[in-house]
Amino acid sequence: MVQMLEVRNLRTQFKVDNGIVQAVDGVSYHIDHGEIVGIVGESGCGKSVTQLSLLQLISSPPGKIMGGEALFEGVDLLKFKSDSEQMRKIRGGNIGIIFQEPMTSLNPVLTIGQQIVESVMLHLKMDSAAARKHAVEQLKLVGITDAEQRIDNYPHQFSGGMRQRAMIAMAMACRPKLLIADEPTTALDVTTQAQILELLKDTVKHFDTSLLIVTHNLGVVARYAQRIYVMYAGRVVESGTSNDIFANPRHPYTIGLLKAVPRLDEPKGHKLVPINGLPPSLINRPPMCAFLLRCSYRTEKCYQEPWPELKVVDGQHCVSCYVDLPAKKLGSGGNVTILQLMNTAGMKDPSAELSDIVASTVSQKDQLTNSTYQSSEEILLEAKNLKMYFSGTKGFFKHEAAQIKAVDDVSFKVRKGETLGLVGESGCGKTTVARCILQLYSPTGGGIHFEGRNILGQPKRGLRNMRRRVQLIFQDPYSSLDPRQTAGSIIGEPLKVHKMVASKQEYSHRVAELFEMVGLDPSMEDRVPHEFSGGQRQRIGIARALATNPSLIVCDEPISALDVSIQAQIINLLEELQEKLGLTYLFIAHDLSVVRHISDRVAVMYLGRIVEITDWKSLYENPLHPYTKALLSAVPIPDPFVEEKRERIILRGEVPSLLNRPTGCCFHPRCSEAIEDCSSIVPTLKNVGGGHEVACIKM
Amino acid sequence: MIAFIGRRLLHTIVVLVIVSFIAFSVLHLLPGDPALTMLGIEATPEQIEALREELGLNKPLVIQYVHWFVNMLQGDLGRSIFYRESVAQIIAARLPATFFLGMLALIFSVLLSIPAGVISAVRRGGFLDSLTSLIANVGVAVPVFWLGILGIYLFGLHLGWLPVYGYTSPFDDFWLSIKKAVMPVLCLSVLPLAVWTRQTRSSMLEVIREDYIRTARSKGLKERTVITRHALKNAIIPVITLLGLQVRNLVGGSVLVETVFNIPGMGRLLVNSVLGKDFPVVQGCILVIALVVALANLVVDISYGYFNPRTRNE
Ligand SMILES: Nc1ncnc2c1ncn2[C@@H]1O[C@H](COP(=O)(O)OP(=O)(O)O)[C@@H](O)[C@H]1O
Ligand code: SF4
Ligand code: SF4
Ligand SMILES: [Mg+2]
Repeated sequence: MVQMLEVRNLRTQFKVDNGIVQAVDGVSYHIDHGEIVGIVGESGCGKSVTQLSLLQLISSPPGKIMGGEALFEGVDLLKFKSDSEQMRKIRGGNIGIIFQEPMTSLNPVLTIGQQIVESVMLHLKMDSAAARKHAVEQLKLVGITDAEQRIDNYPHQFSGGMRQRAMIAMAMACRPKLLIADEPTTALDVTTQAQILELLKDTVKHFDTSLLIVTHNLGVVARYAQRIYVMYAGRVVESGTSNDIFANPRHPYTIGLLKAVPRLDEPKGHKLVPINGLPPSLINRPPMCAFLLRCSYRTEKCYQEPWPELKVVDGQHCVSCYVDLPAKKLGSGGNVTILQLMNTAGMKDPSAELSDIVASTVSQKDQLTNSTYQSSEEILLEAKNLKMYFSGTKGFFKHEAAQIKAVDDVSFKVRKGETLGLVGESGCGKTTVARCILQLYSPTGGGIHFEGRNILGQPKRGLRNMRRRVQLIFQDPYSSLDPRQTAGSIIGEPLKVHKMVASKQEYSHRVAELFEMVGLDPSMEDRVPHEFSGGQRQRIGIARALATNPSLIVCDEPISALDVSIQAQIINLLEELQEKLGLTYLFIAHDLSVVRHISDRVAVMYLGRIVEITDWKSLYENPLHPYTKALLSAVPIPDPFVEEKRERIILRGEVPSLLNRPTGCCFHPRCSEAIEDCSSIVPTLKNVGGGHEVACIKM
Repeated sequence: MIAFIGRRLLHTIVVLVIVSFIAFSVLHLLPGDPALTMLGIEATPEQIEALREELGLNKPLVIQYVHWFVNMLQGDLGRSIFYRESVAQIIAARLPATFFLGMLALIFSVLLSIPAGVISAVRRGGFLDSLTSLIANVGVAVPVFWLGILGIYLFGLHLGWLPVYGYTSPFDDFWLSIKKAVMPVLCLSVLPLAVWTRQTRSSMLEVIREDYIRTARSKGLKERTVITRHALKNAIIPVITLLGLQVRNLVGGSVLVETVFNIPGMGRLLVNSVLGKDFPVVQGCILVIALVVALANLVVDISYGYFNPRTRNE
């Protein structure tokens, strides 16, 4: 039978200054009518280039398709010229594509309507009036309210989620037979991510379109994809049904990926098992298996033979590896985690022993903190009724002065040595809280007590000591380091600023110590930031924060810019450092699984207020606030069995603007449990027992 | 949009008032007695006194300025010392030539440079691109008067294709006017042509790499549509800001070109009156030039708002 799309042995390369990037190196896959298929892999493994190649959208030069076929309904698309009539009919007409960055993928100087209409007129041969009507319908279909008016908006008037909806409307407007979604939700909040994924699934079902989801997030495909291809360094290394991949992964890389991500449903207390090392450079790559240097199963043969071919191991399940890892069937009961599975399978894993040891210490710590909640442990940081208002304008002519209450009456305590997680959708005030604590903003009201002293309203001099004791780790390891400074001077700078070293020897000794502390080789101290990978840069950022012997470190989304396999390395490093140095963390993140993994207690923020705060166990096992429940339900779990059974609350709408804070409980327009009183009564945090505080009038 | 235009208009007026003040002070910032400076050292005290009276130099400065400003608003810019004529009349006689040549140069360079920039960006690294880049680089470097003189020798004296100097109004004799305009306009256009071509090219190269261009291609649009409709509309935005700047350069260019080609325009008037210390004329010229430049900038700002929806406040 002819597949809808069958890609055979596709090879694409880029010519760069220092060699040839073999971005796609013999990739084959197929997708049939009505199927949802996932392609998973870390960034840079060639997922996007594969898709762009088959549509002949790669920039050439430097890109070039070196070989292979892309059969769409039996016709090889690569035979056509890029700008040919036939190719243009396929693009947009038969195959629609959605890109990762909704912010930059729409043309800023054309209205949303113009951008949809032009493709409708082209492929469906409608006149402009009919095309406009059609476009309005498409926008309604993807859930844009007031589509008739919104169609004349420019992209900058849309939020990220809405832009991605508009992209979907645009890609689906001409009723393509196949929709390719390249990281459709990567730039979005979990809740928006869940909305968009549901929308994609419903839309393709409605129009009987096939869907190819490209992503680095295993959870995303677990929920939706029937079949999955795992890519590494430009090749498919494992493919099979969703079941095969999640319940019975056979390639060391897939196994590694599954172990590296923290999950909402796993027992806490074990240490993540990162994939060691870095993804290989694709420039002039040696012929052996590209995973070789990171692989803990490698054998002599792997060094001598070329990269193994993809071989069928069982039914549709294919693996490219010389070592035949034991197949272990997972019962359909399915709450056994991959990790347990691996452990029972007795797989050799060099880091397993280590992780066991750490696991036991971590769980000891868990018990410790759990049992001491009520006791009077030393409180390192306390925010008391913290308020941060900004002034803004609103109204049609921006004439009305308005107050933006970014943080509105927030109180929490952080005990010495614990980690407080702070979660919430973007725009909820998490970073503002962090900046208040770091004294980067001067709060409008309330107090911040650090080591027992209120630091607000203190003269600048008195703050010096406090500044040294509170440090920050940034989200973006690329822009937060001065590109011209060497790694050594970046890390050593705080030592000089705070006069923490007496002599040159002491300085260099301390810098070397800091390098080692974060797992970097001190001999790299003369390199500049761009010579490091993203994960290594984040290590530099951590070392810089550690230089002043801080007691509190505020981590603002410290891993969200990193690759999956690297994230685990950084989380582990943070945990180790906490244990060794007795650090206290305020850990801000939007990834709830990571927060669950690392936090002792968690606070959930919505529109500048804390709506729920408690220890991690109560929060994740017994969430009480409807917002928390919705957030948790939006997090995808990389396990199709679990996903199938989960009850799902899809949060409606988006975070409202702080300028138009809803009355009463500000969550009520989106709350699935709202009652009449919710729009008039403002709930306050109430202790519902065991230090579990919730702000909901129904409690 | 109305509010936006209103704001820009207000801005323009403020700028003009400031310029008027500067123009006014030209007379007073110079060391010594303006009347003496103008007349030279051989002047008799009576002559000086008469000129002081004529220029109103005996009144307090503020009164002088207000007086001058009010007159200016009524179109009275004073009388030229050298020509013994009203400054407004002198300028009115010279402005058309400069305006005509300047506009032709402006239109010619926009019409040529933007397509040239687009084509060389699209065919990056190709023959056309290399050629355009070479010409543009030479264009920025070559001195205008040298080019003018070369043109006069080659096309005027040697080949005899074009008249060598002077200006004829297009309303008097259209063809002669055009023939006379060819060389001055080409000389005036060299710099803006080169600058805009390079700017359009680099702006296009940047835009072509944007994600939304890939999106446009992914919809199956023709490459030509992608370039003109999606890329150019974005790429033109930074070029427009440069347009305002080039109007100023054109004014500078016209001084040289009018001198070389002996054209009775504003540029030459300005030079002559500065050299002849004919201050009322200098003031008038500065004002008119400032007005033209300010209006050009206003047009640029408004069209910027039109091309870039992000600057339009809703
Ligand atoms: N225009 C380009 N020039 C050079 N190399 C490129 C270009 N585009 C992509 N690549 C390289 O191709 C490889 C695969 O990229 P990509 O398909 O975007 O990865 P993914 O989508 O899996 O994150 C990367 O190593 C990337 O650096
Ligand atoms: S082929 Fe060898 S090195 Fe590659 S993944 Fe398999 S065991 Fe590891
Ligand atoms: S107070 Fe009402 S609207 Fe707010 S969270 Fe509770 S139930 Fe929902
Ligand atoms: Mg990609």
